[in-house]
Amino acid sequence: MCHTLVSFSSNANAGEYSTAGVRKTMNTDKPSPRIRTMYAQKSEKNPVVKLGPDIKAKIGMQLRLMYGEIVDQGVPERFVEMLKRLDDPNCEGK
Amino acid sequence: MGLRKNVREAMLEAVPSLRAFAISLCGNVDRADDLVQEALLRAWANMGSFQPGTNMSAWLFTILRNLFRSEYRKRRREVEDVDGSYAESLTSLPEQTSRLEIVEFRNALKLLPSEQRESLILVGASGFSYEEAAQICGCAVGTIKSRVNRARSRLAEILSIDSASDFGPDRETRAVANSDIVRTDRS
Repeated sequence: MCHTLVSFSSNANAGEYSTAGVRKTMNTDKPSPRIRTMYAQKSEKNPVVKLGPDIKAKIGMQLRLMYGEIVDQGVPERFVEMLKRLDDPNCEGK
Repeated sequence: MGLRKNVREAMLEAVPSLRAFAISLCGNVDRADDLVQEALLRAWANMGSFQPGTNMSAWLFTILRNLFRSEYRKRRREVEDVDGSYAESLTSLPEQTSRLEIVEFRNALKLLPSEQRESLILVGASGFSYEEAAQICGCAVGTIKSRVNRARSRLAEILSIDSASDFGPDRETRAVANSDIVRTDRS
């Protein structure tokens, strides 16, 4: 927005009536890169943002690292014992 | 008897992953282990409801999740101990940096709504397909996809990941810088 205002004022300083500039801006099919950036920034408040594959990969790596830390601990003894007891006819697990 | 043996072995095999999932649900290792044990006992008692030929791992995850939802979640004490017993339980981390990163990542993860968190874990870490995750969570495949996307976006936002290079030494520097800003704001 600032950028647009600056360019209007510079047009006015050059002695040209700014209507032409306004028309041009409003009728342009493609917004300027600056305006596109502004829209993109606004949409970041939305929970779903299109993420690049590198970011997805990084999050995936962190997830698997975190998860893997626990998985690598293997089977704690209490579960080995518990599962053993399941087939014991003298146990409640039967 | 063959089925019982197979089921028992499948349970044993699933324990590490079930624990990892359970810890991500309740954030506390001891409670997670209780949850896993209860889920295994319940699965054993309801072995008849398992359909041979289907994914036993997904079946066990479903039981664990339902158990957590019906009993543990009501207590509103989930993800209470992220830096405590969980961090202490990690004994074999390669470097301090990755330890810090994992703790930081886990902290970010706990800020997610629980549905998003579990969906992301199931798909991104447990290795289930969207279809299997939908089955485990009892919802539509599209819902899982949407939750996973939202979870990723939110994580990227929380961790201020603008690009892949944001992971690394620079993040620590920025974390310090950010905390300075916070202090300045509040003083």
